Amino acid sequence: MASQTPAVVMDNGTGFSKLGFAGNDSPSFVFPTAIATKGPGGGGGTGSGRPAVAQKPSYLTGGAGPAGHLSAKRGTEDLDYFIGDEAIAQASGPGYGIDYPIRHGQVENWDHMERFWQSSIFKYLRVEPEDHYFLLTEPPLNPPESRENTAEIMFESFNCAGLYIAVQAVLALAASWTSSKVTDRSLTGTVIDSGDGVTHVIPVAEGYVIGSSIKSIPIAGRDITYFVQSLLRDRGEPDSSLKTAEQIKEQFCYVCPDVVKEFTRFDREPERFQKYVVEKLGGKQATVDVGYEQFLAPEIFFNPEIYSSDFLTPLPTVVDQVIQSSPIDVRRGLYKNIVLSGGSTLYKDFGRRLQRDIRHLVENRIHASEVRSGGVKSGGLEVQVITHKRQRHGPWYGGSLLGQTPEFRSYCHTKAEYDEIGPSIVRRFALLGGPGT
Amino acid sequence: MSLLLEYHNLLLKTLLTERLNSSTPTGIDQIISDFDNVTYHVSTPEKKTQILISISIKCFQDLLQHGAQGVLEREYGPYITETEAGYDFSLLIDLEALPEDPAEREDLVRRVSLLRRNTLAAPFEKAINTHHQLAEAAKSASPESAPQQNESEVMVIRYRDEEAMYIQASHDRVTVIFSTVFREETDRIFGKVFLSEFVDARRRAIQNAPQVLYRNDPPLEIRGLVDEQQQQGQGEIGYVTFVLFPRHLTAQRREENISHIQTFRDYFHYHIKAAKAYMHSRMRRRVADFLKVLNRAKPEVEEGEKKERKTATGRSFRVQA
Amino acid sequence: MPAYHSAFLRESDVRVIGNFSLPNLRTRTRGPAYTLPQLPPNVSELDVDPDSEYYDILDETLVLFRANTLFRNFEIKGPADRVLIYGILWISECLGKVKPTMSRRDAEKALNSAALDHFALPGDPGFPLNALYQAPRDRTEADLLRQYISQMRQELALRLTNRLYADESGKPSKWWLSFQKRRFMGKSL
Repeated sequence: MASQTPAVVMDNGTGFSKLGFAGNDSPSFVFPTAIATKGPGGGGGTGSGRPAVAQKPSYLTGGAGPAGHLSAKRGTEDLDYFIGDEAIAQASGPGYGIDYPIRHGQVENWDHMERFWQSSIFKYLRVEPEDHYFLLTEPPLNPPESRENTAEIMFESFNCAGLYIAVQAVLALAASWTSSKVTDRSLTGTVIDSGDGVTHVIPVAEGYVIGSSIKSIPIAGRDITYFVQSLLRDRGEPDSSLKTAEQIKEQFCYVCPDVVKEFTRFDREPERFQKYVVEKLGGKQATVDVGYEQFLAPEIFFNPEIYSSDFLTPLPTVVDQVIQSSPIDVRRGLYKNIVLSGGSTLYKDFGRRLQRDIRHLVENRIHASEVRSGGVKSGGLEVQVITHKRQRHGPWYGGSLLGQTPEFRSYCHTKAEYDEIGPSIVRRFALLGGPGT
Repeated sequence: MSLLLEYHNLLLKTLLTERLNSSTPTGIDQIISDFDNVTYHVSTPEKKTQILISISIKCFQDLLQHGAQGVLEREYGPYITETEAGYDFSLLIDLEALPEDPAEREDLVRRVSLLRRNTLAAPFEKAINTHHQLAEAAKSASPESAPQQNESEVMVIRYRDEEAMYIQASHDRVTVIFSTVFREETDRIFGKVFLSEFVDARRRAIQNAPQVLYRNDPPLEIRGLVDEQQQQGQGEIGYVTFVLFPRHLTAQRREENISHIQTFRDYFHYHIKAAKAYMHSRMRRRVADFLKVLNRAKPEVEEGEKKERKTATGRSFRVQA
Repeated sequence: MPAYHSAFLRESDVRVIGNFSLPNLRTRTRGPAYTLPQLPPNVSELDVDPDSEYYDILDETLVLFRANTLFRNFEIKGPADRVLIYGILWISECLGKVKPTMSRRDAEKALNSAALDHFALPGDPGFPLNALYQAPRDRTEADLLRQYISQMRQELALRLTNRLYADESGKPSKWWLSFQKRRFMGKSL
C-alpha cells in the first residue's frame, strides 16, 4: 500500500460531502457541502449569480507590511472562505454569507465548488492532487457538461493525476457487495437512496442507470424530523425544537410491521414509552416523553398520507412502479436486488417491511394474472431488499471499494489523456467493477 | 483565512482526539495520506485499546542519516514501537495507559499529529545546531584568520520522485534550496510570478524576511550534488534558495521557521492552484458578461412574423393576416 | 397500506338502516342493539380477543382509532365501515372535551352528558357526512337509528374513559389526548 498513494474518494452530495481515501471503511470527513464567503450569502451577493472576486490575486500574506496598502492592492479575498462545519459556524456570525454550491444533486455554482474542492483537498485531506487519483461521484442523469466542468477543474486547476466519475447509484450497488445476502457481484439492481431532502428510486441495469424510469419521492429525512416535531407539539412536550426532534428520530425510530398492532403493543407494554433528556442552555434539563413517534415517523414512507396531503403514494408502490416501467428483461434482476442507501434508510426493519410490502404487491399481481390466464401457474418472482452495514455512506463506500482495486487506475482518465483530447474525454468512462473485472 | 497550510495532519488529530476522549474503544483501520507521498496507517491490530500509528515517508533513509531517529525519540520516546511492515516508523498509544491530565493528552494528540513535521524537521535541526557551532567557532577565531571550516556539507533530502531539498549550514546562515519541477506550462508561469513576489518581498516592506533567490540552473552550493537521475523527468526544473539568517535561527524562532520552510513546497503548489481557481472565477465571470452582451444582440422576432405592431402613440394593434 | 377497515364488513344478517349497519354491542346501556355477553372477570376490557364472542365493533373502533385518525382518505367498503367512521369521529369529539387536568369522575360526567346531548342523524342538515350516509326512510327507522347511535355513544364514552384512565395516575393519558387535534377524513361531528 505504501508504494502507491491511495485514491481520493469524494462524494459531494446536496447536503453533505463525504471525503476520504480508497480502502478505508468509512469516509475520513463528513461535513455539509457549504461554503461561507465574505459578504452576504447567495452567490456572492451580486444577485446575478456572479462570483464575488477580488481585485487582484496575491501570493503573499495580506497581513505582512503596511496592511492597508498591501491588502488593498493585492487582496486575498479569494482565500477568505470556510467550508463544511466551519462555514456553518462562521455564517452565524457577521461578515460571512453561506452558500450551498450543490442543489438537487447537481453543482450550481462552479466558483464555489472549485474553492470547496480546493479546501477539501489541501486543508482537510492534505494531499497534493498531482500525486493522487480521484474518484468523484455524480447524481443519475447528470448532464455531460457538468462532468466536463468537473474534469476541467480537477485537471486544469488541480492537475490531479487521474480521474474517474461514477454515478452514485452504481456505487451504492457496489457497496452492497459487503452484504452476505449478495452472492454475485452484479451491477443490476434498484437503488433506494434516501438522504435528507429527497428519496430517489433508481433502477440500474449492468452498471447503467435506466434514466427514464427513475422516480423521486418528496419524503426523506427532513420530513421525518418535521413529523416527529409535530407529534411532540401535539402532546405539548416541554421541548419540541427541531434539534430534539432530530435526536429522537435518530435514537428511537424504527419501522413496525403494522401500526395498529404496534399501538396495542404499547398499551400492553408501557415500558415501550421512552424518555429523552434535553440539555438546555444554562444547565437546565427537560425530559421529553417519547411515544408513538418511534414507529409512526418512519411510517410516512409507507403511508405518506399521514404526513403529506399532496403526495400519497407509498414507497413500496413507487418501487414497484419503477421496476414495472423498466425493460422487461431486467425486471427480475431489479426485484432481486433492491439496495438501500443513505441515512434515512437506516431505521430498524426498514428493509424487512419494504420487502414484505413489495412482495405483497408482486404476489397480488401474479395471482391476478394467474386467474386471468385461467389456471396457468407462474414460476414466482424473487423480491429481495438488501440491508448492509455501509448503507449510511453507501456511494462513498462503494467508491472506496472500487478505488482500491488494482485495476482502478486503468479505468481512470489521466492528466495526459485529458491534455490530449480535452474535457470531452470524461463523457465516457469504462464501467468500473462491471463484467470482466 | 486559508493562507497558510496547517503543519499538523487534521485527520490524524480529529481521529485521535475523538478516540482519546471517548470511553468506548472501537476498532480502527484507516489509511491517511499527507503531502509529499506521506502515508499514515492508523489501526488497532491487537486490541481496540491499542492504537498503532505508522508513517511511511519517502525520504526516510535520507532523514535517518541526518538524525531523524534522535528527533523522533525525543518527541515520542515511550510511544515508539516496533515498526510495522511496509512503513518506516510506528507509534503505539495504549488507551488504558494515557496521561491523566487532559492537557497532557491534548499535547500527545498534538505531537502525534505533527509526526510528519517532526520527522522532516531532523535535518533542519541538525543544520541549525551546526550553524550555532560554526558561529561559536567563528567568533572565537580571530577575525583575520578565517576559520578553516565554516560550512557544513550539504544535506540532500529527496522527498519526492523528482524534487529534493538541499540544506547547508554555515557560520552566518543556513541555506535551504528546493528543486522544483513544473510539468504544466501554466503552472510554471504562475510559479514564476509567485516566486518573484517572494524575491521582491524584502525590497518592499518585509525587511526581515529571509532572502529568496530563484534560478533555473543549480546554484553554486549544490552543483555536482544534483542527482542526474532526478533530472530525468520532463518539465522544467527550477531552484529556489532560502537564506536563513541568524535572526531566523534563534531558539524562539526556530521551531516555527522549521515548520514554515518544510511546508514551502505544498504552500507553493497550493497557492498556484488557488490562483488558478481564482483566474477561473474571473474567466467565468467574463464569459457571463459576454453572454449577456450576445443575448442583447439577438434580433427581436422577425418583423414579418410579428403580429403586433405599435402606432405612433404607443398603442398596439394586431395585423390581420 | 391505507387506513384500516372494519372486520365486521364480513358479517351478514345485520340490520341496516339507510346504509348504516347496526351490529351487536356488548353493553349494559339500554337500547335497540342485540347485546353480547359481558366479559368474564379474567378478560381485560382493553385487550379483547377479536375472535372471541365478546368482541364488538366498539372494541374495534377503539383499537383502530389511533391509526385511522391519522388518515385523511378512507374508502367506505360497506355499512360496517360507516359505524366505524361514526365511532372514530365520536371518540375525537370526546377527546376534545377532556382536559389534561380532569379527574376521572369529571371526565365521566362531561362525556356522559355529551353522549346524551341532542345529535344530528344522517339526513339532518347538521350531519357532517351526508354525502356518504343515506337518510333513514321513515320516522320509525329514524327513531331506531337515533336510539342505536345514542347507545353506541354512551358505551364508547364509557370505554374511552376506561382507556384514558387506565394507569393509576388519576390523570387522562397524554398519549390519547395527543390525538385531539387530528381529524379523521378531515371531518368532525
